[in-house]
Amino acid sequence: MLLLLISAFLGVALYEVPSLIRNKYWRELVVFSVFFSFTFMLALLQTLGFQIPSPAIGVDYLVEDILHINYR
Amino acid sequence: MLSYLLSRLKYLKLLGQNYKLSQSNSTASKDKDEKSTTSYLSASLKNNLNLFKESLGNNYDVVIREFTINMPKQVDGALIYLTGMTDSKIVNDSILKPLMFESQLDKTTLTSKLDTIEMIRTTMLSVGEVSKSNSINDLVDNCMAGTSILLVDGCTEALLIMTADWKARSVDEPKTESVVRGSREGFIENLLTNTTLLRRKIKNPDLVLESMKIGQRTKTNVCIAYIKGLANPSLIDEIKRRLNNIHTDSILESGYIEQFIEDAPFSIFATVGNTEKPDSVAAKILEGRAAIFVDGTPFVLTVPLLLVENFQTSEDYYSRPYFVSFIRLIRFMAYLISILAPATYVALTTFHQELIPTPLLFSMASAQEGVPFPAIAEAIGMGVIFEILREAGVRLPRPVGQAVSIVGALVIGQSAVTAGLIGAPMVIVVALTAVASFVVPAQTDSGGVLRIVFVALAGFSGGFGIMIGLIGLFIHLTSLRSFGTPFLSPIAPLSVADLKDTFIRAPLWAMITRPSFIGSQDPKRKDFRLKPSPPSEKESQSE
Amino acid sequence: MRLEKGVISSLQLFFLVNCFIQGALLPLTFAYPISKHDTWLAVIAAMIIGSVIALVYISLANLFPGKNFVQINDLIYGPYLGKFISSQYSLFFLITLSGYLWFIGDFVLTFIMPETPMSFIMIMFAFVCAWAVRQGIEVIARMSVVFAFIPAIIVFITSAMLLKEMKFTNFLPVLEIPIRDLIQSTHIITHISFSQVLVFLMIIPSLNEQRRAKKPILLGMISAGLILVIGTLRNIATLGPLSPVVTSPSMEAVRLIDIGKILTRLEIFVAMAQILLLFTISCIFYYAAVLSIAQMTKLRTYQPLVVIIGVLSIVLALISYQSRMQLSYSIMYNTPIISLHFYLVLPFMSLIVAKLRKLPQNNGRN
Repeated sequence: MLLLLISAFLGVALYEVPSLIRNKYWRELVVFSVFFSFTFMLALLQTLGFQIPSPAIGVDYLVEDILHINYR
Repeated sequence: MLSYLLSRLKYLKLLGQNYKLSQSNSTASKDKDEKSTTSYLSASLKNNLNLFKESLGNNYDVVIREFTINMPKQVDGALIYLTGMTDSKIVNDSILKPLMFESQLDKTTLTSKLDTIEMIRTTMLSVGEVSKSNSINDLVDNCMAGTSILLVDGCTEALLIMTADWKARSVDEPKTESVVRGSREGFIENLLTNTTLLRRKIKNPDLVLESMKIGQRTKTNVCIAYIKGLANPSLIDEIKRRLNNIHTDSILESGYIEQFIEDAPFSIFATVGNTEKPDSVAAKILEGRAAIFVDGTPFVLTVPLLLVENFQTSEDYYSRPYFVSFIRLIRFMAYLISILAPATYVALTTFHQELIPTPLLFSMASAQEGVPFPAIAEAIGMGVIFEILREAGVRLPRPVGQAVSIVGALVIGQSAVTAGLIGAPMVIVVALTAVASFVVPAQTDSGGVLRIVFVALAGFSGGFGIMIGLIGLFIHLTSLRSFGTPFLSPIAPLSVADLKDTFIRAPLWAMITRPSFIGSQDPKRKDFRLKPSPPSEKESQSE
Repeated sequence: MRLEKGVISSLQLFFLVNCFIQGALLPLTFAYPISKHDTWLAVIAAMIIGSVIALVYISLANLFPGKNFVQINDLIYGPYLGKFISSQYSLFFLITLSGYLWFIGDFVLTFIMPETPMSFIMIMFAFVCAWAVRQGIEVIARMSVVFAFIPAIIVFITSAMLLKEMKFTNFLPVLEIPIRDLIQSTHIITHISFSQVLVFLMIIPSLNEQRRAKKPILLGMISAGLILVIGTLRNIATLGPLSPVVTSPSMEAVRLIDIGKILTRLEIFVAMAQILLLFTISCIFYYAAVLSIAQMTKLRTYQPLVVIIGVLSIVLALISYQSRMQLSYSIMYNTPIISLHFYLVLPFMSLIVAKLRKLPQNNGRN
């Protein structure tokens, strides 16, 4: 599973990066790498079994328990 | 992973080297061209002949005929031509005979200040097409195309006399597109005959036939045909640009040209059309398209190509609209069946048995009983076997081909089912697919690829996989362009007016406008009110 | 310099909006448990309210012709506050996209492919979305023209086929539920479908006639809204008291079609048509997310971000939702409230601030 994940991300990188370098799109490369590393970290943590707090549950918590503006 | 990276790097490096090589090559060839064009004829016939012998070599089909021209004072001359490619009658009767015996020169012409060669051209040759040139290269090129070259002693120019003529197949019924109704003539291998066939359909000076030579070694004649005022000028410019970009040594068939000028070389769909029938080329040109004739092949290219053109035939327009519209729908359906039937079968039997009506499910299950392979293996295996049989049938001489099909149908079909290797429903599905794939001949090749892709998708993820495949196919088709025209054009982007000739074929009197994405230069095709009707009451009374 | 070079016609925009709203037929499931057999009233109310809200978006777009939402925010709020608001919206698009991905994964898992891992379905689906988004808005818009017809025709045909099964007493008594529930249901429907037209603020700049966005968008919303109403009426009339209970009323209602024991199991066509629509919606959100991020970071092309943002949204979807119950709970009770911030508060504020600062006079003409 881990191998699959890493190869998938490597595939994405190999697909995008060469053309960026060839066209000298450095700014695009930076933004791409930021998103890439962030996504990779999330996916890696998820695969390794860490419980990442769910944003959806976070929103639920915000609305219900802090703001108290939910329906019902 | 690392080795992959390394190999990729190596590949990039190779690419770079190739690029540099090709650059230096092209400059070198340019140098060579320039050098060779610098040699011109001299005034001495002997020198000139030596030059020609040098460049033509000792080819056995080159004839160098030296003779004396019978002018008031005798002048030495020589005629150079290729035997197989010239009409010997013209050479004998219209060139050699007048030059040697029947001088028509009278006093007035003699006293005029024309030089010898001009005099010969104006008064002695009874051939239609005669021109002058002084570059050896040009002369040799023309000689190779069948022109005779007349050299005259003391002249630095030579006459090019059009004598080209060779044995060609006679105009015949096309093998790939046979019709029940409509013209039965098809293109042949001779460019001139082909363009003439087109010119006979469209007797209009606006029909432009522009010729060019492509292929450094084969020097193949290529001709662009379009109607001035109908075809979009930017389309013609684009075609010329792409044709001029072809730097290759040989063009042997229009397929070569097609692969060099198409928009999407990686797509499984062709974006350049081809046809063998003069009437369909004429119809396409009259819609605002352009045709590309290539010498040596009966297949003429037409651009831009739309997907729907693959589902239209020239006969559609010759028959009455109702049945044709029905047949159009059948063609679309048959194409869908040919790419989707095996995949649907695989998806249904592997993932969605609950979708099959129960009685059918039982009979299918009993037929499938004891079959050792999963449905996807059956489908792909039978698909491959079918392609093998088809290929064997196409290439073999006709009597043997029939034997192959009998072996295929009986032995592989019947016996495999009785032996329990394949389920009978699978054979039915594959047979249906096979028949359906012949309904749209232009898309048989793309259908074959798509069929296997869809079977694989269905085998992995059932109906959802087919759905994803269809969406992907649709994305691909929508993004394709053929010479600037959207490939899927009357459907997406939608053009309601053009739907009259897509899924149905409207009556001819109702098809007033040309396809809006192609014939925008002159949208109106015919008058309104062409609908035939019986004479009205008033008129009949007055009669 | 513009990021998107494609140009769409107003007809294509109409069909794009039409697809976008029609696609809510399946997500409407979330409203049934609240408003029961009066859901069709909620759909009509949501359609009207949504059209009014859409007018706000359109007037915002008309103030700044040729500018997409991120650029509009920059102009109205200045570079820093504008970036902050735009990044909220980017995140919002991304989360909506991941919600749709999860929804379609769950839908396919329930009705078409029961024993497939959900991540696999989501990856396949996101793959075709990424493919379409890389081709640009032109291709998405052209496809929507075809995609709009198929589900609409299916809704009409199935409604006709179900006439035999329908009991119109199922609608009675009208307005039985408390008005509070009707409001909540209307809010949910507005939230999951009509007010999402906001995302078209990223697309309107690609329109060939800049200021003509109003007609196609409103017509698209209303025509698709009517189809939604027909679909809802069909479901309620057919299923009656069952409609709030079942997993997906549209699917279950069509499953009841049985004409001569031959035309059965037609819900597969509904599923296929809805996948087409959900594909269009996902593509639009995907496109908006990628384009807004690329615009904020001032990239020259948005293409390189497409694949990685797709992966990010899949990962987000897998992290965010564990069960259908959780998704439907938050959509029913919580997210409509929080999304008011995006749909109503910020656009209104932008419009008012723009009017106060008299911005279009300075920027409209250059």
